[in-house]
Amino acid sequence: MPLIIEVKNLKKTYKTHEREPGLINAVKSLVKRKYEFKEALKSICFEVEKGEILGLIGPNGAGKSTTLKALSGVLYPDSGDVNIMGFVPWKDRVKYVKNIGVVFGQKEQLWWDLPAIDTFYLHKDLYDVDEKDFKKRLDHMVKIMQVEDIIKTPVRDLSLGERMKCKIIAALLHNPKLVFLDEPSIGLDVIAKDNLRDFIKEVNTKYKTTFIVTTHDMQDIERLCKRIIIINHGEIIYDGLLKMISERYIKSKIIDVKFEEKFKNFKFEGCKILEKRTYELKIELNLKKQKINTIISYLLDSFKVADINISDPSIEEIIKLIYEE
Amino acid sequence: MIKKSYAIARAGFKEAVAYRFHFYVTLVTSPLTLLIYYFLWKSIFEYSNVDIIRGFTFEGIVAYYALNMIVGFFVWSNVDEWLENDVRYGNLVNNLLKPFNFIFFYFFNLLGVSSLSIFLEMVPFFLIAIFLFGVKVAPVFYFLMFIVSIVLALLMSFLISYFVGMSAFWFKNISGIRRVKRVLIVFLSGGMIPLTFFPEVVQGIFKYLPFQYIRSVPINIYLGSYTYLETLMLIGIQVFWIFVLYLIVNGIWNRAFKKFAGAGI
Repeated sequence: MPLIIEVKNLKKTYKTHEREPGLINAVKSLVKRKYEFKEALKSICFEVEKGEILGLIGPNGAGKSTTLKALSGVLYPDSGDVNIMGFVPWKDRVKYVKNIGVVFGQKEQLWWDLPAIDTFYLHKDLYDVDEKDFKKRLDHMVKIMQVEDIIKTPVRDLSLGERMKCKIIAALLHNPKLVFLDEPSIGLDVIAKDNLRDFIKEVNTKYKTTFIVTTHDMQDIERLCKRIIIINHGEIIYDGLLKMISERYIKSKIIDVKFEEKFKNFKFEGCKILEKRTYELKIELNLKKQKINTIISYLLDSFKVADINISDPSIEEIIKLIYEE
Repeated sequence: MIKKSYAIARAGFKEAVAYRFHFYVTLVTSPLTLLIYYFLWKSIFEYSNVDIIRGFTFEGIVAYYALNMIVGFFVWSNVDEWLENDVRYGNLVNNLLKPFNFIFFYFFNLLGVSSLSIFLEMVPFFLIAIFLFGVKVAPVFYFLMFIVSIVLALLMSFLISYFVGMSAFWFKNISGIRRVKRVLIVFLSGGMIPLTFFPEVVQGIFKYLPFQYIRSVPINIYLGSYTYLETLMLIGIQVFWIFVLYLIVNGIWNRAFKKFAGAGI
């Protein structure tokens, strides 16, 4: 597959001022300000192939959003070369953004006082979408996202999740070749998350649309991405297949159990107790020594279990492991 | 291009409809303000015992203030406030993601908002001015030129607002600067008192500033204060100023964009 994105030595430093709390310090800052330079991106390099779904992950403040902003043409970096479909995003902004769709999960992207449908129609004209294509795509997306009832309500009256669904529709209506999704699953319920993932997959296979997704939800990544980039403190610390990461670093599962009565005599080989309360237990299961189903059946057989929750170690923990090597 | 501009203006119009209450309020308060001017000038004329003050008859000065309000409804631009908010809260990103010239995106949005004021403020108030305050309907030529002139005045007012608004890229909070701008523009454009009330020297200086072309000139075109040729020339000067202001604004915008960091996303 040909390359759609080439990023070389992308750098961006933010300048902000810091101030100690308190009135006296506020007055002081009138005269003298201490500036702080924060290196958000330290020479980032990577490439993306056409039709890929790339996961961009990392802890808060790692530089994920800064990367997406620079790649979507709204941020002027300090230096570096970026070539996306022949454009330099921040220089050919107007021509370039016509080809991309962007969702910033934490930004209000719809016209606040108007119903979402008005934003959709505005986009139709701004992106020169053919009337027939527009109708077809809109109907399809509205059905998948289950927003038939809310697209005629002013956006300010919608909930976080409802707005998110509409934002995603607005970003994809013009069938962009490249889509940036910055935390697209914030505020979505389980069903909506599932629908969103299916929809991204569908668009990806049908139109060969390239997606770059940042998220804190490991399930998003597992369901969507073959390849991931892990970024921390403005540097890429991993760029490769997701499978490698899970095989090498996800060696354990976190299991939360809630009991219906006080439990006694919990004993199981190959697991570490992280937290113990009267009705609750949090354990880390070593996958090399034990399988998940053996501990589940042990728990169900020996105790009166109210609830079980199994999760992967968080991204932060994986990053810690990568650093430890 | 026309289709896109229209789409942006339409969104601005719809947004203004969502806040139409604001227009109803001005429709009640504006005649009251005009009434104050009416009585103020009535007593000035009565006590000074003259028919003409600085080129204005009593009817003339009332017409001036009535038109001043009508023009004010239309050319009023708070794009500086929009920009300030968009910079401070990072919403600028949304507009940057739209495939459209960034400066004109705001202009067409404003044009949509101002269009609603035609129906909800200008026309009703125009009727009030004619039937209650005896303002005369201008001859066809001056009326048409008046319309051309206020559209150009809106563009000028927009560009000056935009110029002021861009300071938010450097200062973040510009509410003080905005207030100074508002007072200065109203004063220098003839929105407070007609410019003929200023000393000759000051009037001479005003000719070389853009501000009088935002209010004083369109009002005087309506009132027929100029010959046909003068009117056309003044409109030409408006176009010239739009050109100059755009070059300045565009130049600063290119630097402001580099400074923009997209606050908190």
